[in-house]
Amino acid sequence: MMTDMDKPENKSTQSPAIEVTGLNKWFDDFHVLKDISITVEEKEIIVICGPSGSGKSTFIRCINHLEKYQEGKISIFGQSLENGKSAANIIRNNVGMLFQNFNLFPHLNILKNCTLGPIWLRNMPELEAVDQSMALLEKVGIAHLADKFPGQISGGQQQRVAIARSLAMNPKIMLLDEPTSALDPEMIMEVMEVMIDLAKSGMTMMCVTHEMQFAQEVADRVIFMSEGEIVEMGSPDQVLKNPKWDRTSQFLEHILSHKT
Amino acid sequence: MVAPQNELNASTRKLKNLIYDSSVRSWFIQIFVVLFTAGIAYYLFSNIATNLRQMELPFGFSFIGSTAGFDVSWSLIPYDPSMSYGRVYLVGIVNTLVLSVLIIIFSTLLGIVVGVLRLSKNGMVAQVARWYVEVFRNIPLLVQIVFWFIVVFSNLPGPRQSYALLDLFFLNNRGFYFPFPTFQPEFIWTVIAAIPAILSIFLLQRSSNAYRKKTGKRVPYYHALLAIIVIMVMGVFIVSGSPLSWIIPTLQGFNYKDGGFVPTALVAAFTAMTIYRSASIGETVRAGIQAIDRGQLEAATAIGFPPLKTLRLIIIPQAARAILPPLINLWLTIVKESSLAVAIGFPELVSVFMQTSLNQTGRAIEIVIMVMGFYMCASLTISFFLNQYNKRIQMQEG
Amino acid sequence: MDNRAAQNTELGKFIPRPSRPPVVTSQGLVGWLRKSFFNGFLNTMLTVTVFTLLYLLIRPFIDWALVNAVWSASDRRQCLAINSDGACWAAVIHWFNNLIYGRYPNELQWRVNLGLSFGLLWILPLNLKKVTSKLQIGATGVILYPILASYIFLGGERSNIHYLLACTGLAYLLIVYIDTLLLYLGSKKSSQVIEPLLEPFLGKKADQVGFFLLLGGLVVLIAIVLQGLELEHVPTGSWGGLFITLIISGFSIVMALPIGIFLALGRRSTMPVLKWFSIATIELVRSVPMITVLFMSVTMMPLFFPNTMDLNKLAQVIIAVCIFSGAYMAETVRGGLQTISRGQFDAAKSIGLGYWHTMFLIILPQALRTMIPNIVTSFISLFKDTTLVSIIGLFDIMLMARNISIDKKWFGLHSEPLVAISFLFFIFCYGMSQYSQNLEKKLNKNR
Repeated sequence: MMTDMDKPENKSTQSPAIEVTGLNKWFDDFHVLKDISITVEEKEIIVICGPSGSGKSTFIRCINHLEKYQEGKISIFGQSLENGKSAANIIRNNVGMLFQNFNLFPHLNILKNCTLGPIWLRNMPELEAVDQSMALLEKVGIAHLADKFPGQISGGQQQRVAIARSLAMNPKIMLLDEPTSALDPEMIMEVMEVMIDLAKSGMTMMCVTHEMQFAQEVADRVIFMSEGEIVEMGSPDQVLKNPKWDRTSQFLEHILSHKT
Repeated sequence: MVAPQNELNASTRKLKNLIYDSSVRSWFIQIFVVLFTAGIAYYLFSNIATNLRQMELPFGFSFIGSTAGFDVSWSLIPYDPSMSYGRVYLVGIVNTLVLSVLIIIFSTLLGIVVGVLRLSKNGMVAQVARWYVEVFRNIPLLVQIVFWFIVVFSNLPGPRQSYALLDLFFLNNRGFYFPFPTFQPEFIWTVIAAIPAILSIFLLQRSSNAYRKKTGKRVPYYHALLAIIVIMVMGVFIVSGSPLSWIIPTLQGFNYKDGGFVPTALVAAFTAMTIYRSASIGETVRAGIQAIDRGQLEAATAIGFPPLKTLRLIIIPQAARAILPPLINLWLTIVKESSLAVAIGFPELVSVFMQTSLNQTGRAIEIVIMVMGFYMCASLTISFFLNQYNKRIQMQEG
Repeated sequence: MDNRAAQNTELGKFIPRPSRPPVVTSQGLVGWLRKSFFNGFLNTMLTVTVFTLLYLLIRPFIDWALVNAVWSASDRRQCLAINSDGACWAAVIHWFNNLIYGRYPNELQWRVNLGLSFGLLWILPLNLKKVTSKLQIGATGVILYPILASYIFLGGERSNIHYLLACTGLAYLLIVYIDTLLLYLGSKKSSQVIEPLLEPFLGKKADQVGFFLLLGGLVVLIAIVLQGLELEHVPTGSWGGLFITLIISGFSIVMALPIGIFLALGRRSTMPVLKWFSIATIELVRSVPMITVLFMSVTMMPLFFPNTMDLNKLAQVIIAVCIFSGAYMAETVRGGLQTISRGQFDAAKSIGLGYWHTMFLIILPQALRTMIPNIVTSFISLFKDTTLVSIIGLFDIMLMARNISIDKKWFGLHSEPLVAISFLFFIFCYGMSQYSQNLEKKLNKNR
């Protein structure tokens, strides 16, 4: 668990990494997100948990505009996401995402999956892109699989490729949508180790997960969501061990009893 | 309990019997099938022999050399009645291929448009595309072919009142007339100039790619260099006296002479089959695009690809994989379906060989073998390439 | 950690925030309209343009087909006199009987209706949920129905065996319906009703024997009752129109299933002779166009059989189409077999079932369920492809339609018959494809 001494000293006075105000979203008539507001500072690690249908995935997908929302304001490092084209630029330069189903490109090998973005979006020379990607693949521990195809490697390995692929674009913020939910129990550990490393290296992260171990170890704040709103928000100790609301405690009991 | 030792002996004995039995049985069945088939074949062949003898038509392909003696209403390659049946066979094949290739090209293009429109966000466009597909798929192709031929294209005005486009293309109830190119001997210089031009474009592409790999940027003056190469070839063409002339169809008396010509039957068959097949190709394209996991789009967006690049690098390669195998099968179907043009008198293979030639020579068996042989060769060739493509893809899917 | 129990009393009761309704312009009908059709300037323009184009194309057609159409006239000249801008549907109406029945004598057409109704009646129980012996009904239908139908359609001097088998068909159909009725009323099948009577004599087999006794009794009854019924002979040359389209496609698809199963199993066989024979047949037949197969059957089949045997054109065509559709069906069956996981074969082998038992009791029933939508699609294709027989001179509905234009009274009338049969085909094929889609959904739900 992170203590105040471990936290990096960069409590900067510049704008927060993510600022969400009054976010509301409807699917047809169904009110999916109700007045969500939150401020995330740079290098903060936020874990979001909650029952299915609580809107937690929808929430983080609104941040990088994978979902449209009807009301609310979102800004990234002080730049407001309003207009279509500039919003896309801001997101591309600052935010990366990990998916539950990895979503690797099946027609390209591992190396090309990682170099595609830098080459075509940052106009990076191919050699440079290859070097950068191989270094990242080395960091997540699968450099030896560089010329294999996604269909030929395991789930845990695929998710690690996905991490390398996102990191190749140098994001400062990472959104993770249940990154380990689709993995066999044996493979969860290998991916979590990479996630923890990432957190400790100063990445700002918003992670939707059921892995409370991750929350205990690196999270600065834990958010519990239910039925579209934030029920509780606080340090991992506060929320996980001393919840304020019965709803939270109900959910935690369920999750913790499942783990054994 | 039975002692394990005895049980083992008993079961091994049973096993031996089983193996012994099943292999004997399988041989027995196979021999039976061979004899049975041979028996039927013998019965059929002896009948055929008797019947042929009665008709004084011994089996043999020698008739291919004899004179055909009938005219063909249209042929891409030169033909006249003094040529042999072998030539008629060739004419049929060429006509079939011409019709098929035309249909394949245009129905694929149209089909891609239809398939994409089916997925349009605009409700009206999507519905129109959907009903287009439903209407043309559920009416038999033969009905559509006959309809276009009899109701539309045969009812066009006569040559003197043709529909004209730019005074170069003419459509009337005899067919479609278009300008046809002829090349003078000086054209050879343009051809000679074109060869290094193509080579240099090739080299330009390759060096541009290598440059991009090294520096990430496009080669400067890329477009200018391309333009210079093209202009140089055109320069050669002009300097050698513009040796390309177009023969424009001209109305002489009651009909058009010169220029290129395709008969009404071809135009009708082409129109009907292009529209009909564009519906199924459209569905194939749509299914291929829809099969792409939504997550791919999301991942691409999350990395930051704008829509056009996502389309080019992520969507189209994957869609192509899903679409290509059924698409190639549809192309094969088109080649086979072109035979329906026999119903409106277009001189493709079935019409000139299986109908006219067979009626004249009475050589049913030989002609059937030759016609089916062609279609089988075409099918097997295309299937072979399709299998190679599939094998290559399978290796990547892992 | 044990503080938790004490702290439970400090937990507040969480009251969730109420939901708000969304803003109107983005929801509901208005929202959907705006999103789909009027989303932005470009989209609006597109919608308006497409709508205008449609109007320009469809309006003249509706004018011709409905507004100005002539529905009754005695010949073409009269049609043109009444309204020359409209379709002369009077011709189609005059010829309607021929389009449906060919040249089958008008006063005898009730026999065609009767025969086809029996077919429908046979298929009906297969759609009802409660009926359990669907496979038996289907299989018996495949064998008995053609005999019954051919007897009714052909008429004339038929052999006694033909007559008896036709009666058996009727009797079986009757029993099926009695059983279904009894099933829905909650009681047992008819054979089970008389079972108690026979049990003392026959013991365990009473059920099956009872059934055959009942069947036999009914056959005798029907044979005696209908003995005097004389059906005038209608040669196959007079059959035509939608009637033979249905016969050719219906009979072929039914025959295609066993042929396809046989070829597909042969293709998977480990015995090389069977395997190569099946592959050769399938690939050869599938690589040639149907019209060549039809031409071949008409020109070559007379050569295959001695001069004394005379096969009429309809029979030749049916044989050719059966083999053709059988080869295509083999691929459908192969696809269906591939959906069965290896585990099924392993389980069957571990119980001790041999090859044929495994295939017919375990594998094929499962495979057939997944194949049914494909089979319906094949039938629709076959139904459309039957129009090809018009090229070799068999008077199906298409040739009948084309013949209207050489009828003296309606000379030169081409479009109306073609449009009419297009419409008919569209209704039939579209209807069947919707049915097959529904079927697919229903079958997928049950998995």
